[in-house]
Amino acid sequence: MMDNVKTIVLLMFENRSFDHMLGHLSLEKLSPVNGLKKPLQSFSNSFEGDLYPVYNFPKDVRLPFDLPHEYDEVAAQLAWSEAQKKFTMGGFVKAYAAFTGVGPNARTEPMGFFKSTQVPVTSFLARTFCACDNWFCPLPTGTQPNRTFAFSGDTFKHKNIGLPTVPIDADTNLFSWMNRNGVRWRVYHDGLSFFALYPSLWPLVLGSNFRDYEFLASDVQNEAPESAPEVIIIEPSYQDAPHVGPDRPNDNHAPLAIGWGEDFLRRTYEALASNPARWAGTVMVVYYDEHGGFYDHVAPPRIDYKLPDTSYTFASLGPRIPAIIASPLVQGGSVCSTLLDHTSVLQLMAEKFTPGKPYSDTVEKRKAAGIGSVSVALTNPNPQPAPPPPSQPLAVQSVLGASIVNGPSGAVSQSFEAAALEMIKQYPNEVKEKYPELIQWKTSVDNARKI
Amino acid sequence: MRTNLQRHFSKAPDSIDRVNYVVLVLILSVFAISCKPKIDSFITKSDGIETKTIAADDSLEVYWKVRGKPTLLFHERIDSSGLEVEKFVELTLLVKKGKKEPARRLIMVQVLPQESSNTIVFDEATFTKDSIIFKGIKSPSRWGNFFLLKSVKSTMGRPWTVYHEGKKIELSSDSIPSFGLQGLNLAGPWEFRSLLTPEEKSDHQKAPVEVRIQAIIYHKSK
Repeated sequence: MMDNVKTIVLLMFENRSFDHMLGHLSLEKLSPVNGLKKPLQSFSNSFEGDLYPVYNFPKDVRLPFDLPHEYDEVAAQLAWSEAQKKFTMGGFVKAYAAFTGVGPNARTEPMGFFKSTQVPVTSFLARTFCACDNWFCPLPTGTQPNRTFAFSGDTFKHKNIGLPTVPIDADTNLFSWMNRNGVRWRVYHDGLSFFALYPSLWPLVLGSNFRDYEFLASDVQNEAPESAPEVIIIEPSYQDAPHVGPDRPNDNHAPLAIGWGEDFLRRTYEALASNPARWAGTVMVVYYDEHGGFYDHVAPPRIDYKLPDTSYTFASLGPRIPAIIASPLVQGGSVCSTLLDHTSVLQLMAEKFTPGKPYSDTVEKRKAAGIGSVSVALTNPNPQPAPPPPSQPLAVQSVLGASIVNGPSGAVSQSFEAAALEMIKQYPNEVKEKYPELIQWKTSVDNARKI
Repeated sequence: MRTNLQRHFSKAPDSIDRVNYVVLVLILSVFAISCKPKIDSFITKSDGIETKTIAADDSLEVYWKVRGKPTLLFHERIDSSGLEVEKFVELTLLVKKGKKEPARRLIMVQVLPQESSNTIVFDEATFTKDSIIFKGIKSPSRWGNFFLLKSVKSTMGRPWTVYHEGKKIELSSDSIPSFGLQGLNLAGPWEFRSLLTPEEKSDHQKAPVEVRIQAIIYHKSK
């Protein structure tokens, strides 16, 4: 089956949990995933004597603010019970109340979920192709360690840091690995790439393999198979990245409304499916870096991971995230319940491009601990053409004018901004050519933040 | 004023200069922060008591302290996704100031019928040699003092000793309601104790992870 795989596409969104995005599949009886079921009171957290069950968001709106999802908060959310010797998943409302400093409403954001009509494209892909209902983020912590782990199989930090100096392993990062093994690859970025947060990758980020997202559809349709990339990484426009003007984040990071990301997902799927011959050999993995503070009912397995300098050991994976394998090579409408995490993608890479040779020691250790490969879902010998996605308009309410005046407040957005400023300083000409919007952003910031 | 301060600093010794510079930066930071719209407090009350739960005939008072121009948005919402249809009043406070991003906060006030059921749940257990104990405070800021207990019953298939507002009652394992707490406030401190089975004594993992007690409550005006 691996011979039929010609193109691996990775699209990683930000900060949503499985139950929050795909729990509706079982609730609405659209797919037999391990998601939400009636009565919804069975999926609840307690706080100060009251039950806080999951509930359907009445509409897709921008949330009042982001939810807590950093290292300490994730620990509170997983809620390890010493008596029970397990995670109870009972601390999402507690963590939220501690974070906001006010008592939660009877319907409180961490417990909200979307129905199929609110996430039509995600829901369509999940029930048309393969929904993975046992995919966890690799570490119970925030964005940077999880993303670093996803793209190298290791991380040097166990928390987010607010500096443009996020380290990533020089040998095991996916780009080095692909270059070393002769894999043709490309990144399509809608705005500033997340990989800009790794200074060691700046020469790549500013190089020709990083292309603007708008070229994706035409490249897929027009590029000859022998020169087309074998691995494509697609990056949405990040909420935490610098923005100016009408530029619209669509990475699904709360507090964003979800419609922007749904539209991005639809455009991406349409672009990839627009070349039927190419689509026949495409495996598109849609996944999330971490859960973003939204409730999920499945406790993560106890598989540990020690940082390379042994300064910290994680005792488990992080919460479950939504993941979809969209490909003609999966059984239509299937559910993959094999234990997976972000290193399952790296396992797939090794199976395809270096058969018999593991991706890295860490990835191999996790495989030995029971984490499977994405390839487990590739079992369909009779590929079918790509069905069209839902074409309905997506109604998104939003607040215009999110200001750049105040500057970033979280570690990841601070890191993004610091990376952008440093890149402009060190590589002014390259940035002007590659990310002209950053130059405009810097001018706006300089003007806006004068006291 | 800024110019005068700068002139003053230029004549001061270095150490004082630095201190003053820090003070200036602090003042300017405070000024910058104070320019942002902010919601210092936003609460709902009924009869002067903080609450997020009322009955249909109750009047609702809304209090806020903000920096900026406030707008209060109000609408009713019916949620039928759970076991019972539930009614809420949604109050959104939007505070604007100049061109800054508005501050926003939402309070959902639940509107209950005169009599309804309620689950009392606590999930942090402690153990003694022969008992499991759950205790906590049912939130007064959510319930005010308007909802009183009619009856309580165990739906967990085990007996519980219940302490609330200075009273002690026994709940049997067979879900028979007890009226021993009738007329007491729902909100406030609760304690639940239950004897461990021999299996639970030797392995706490077999003990319940939470206590859930079903109560019938009524509005005190009833």
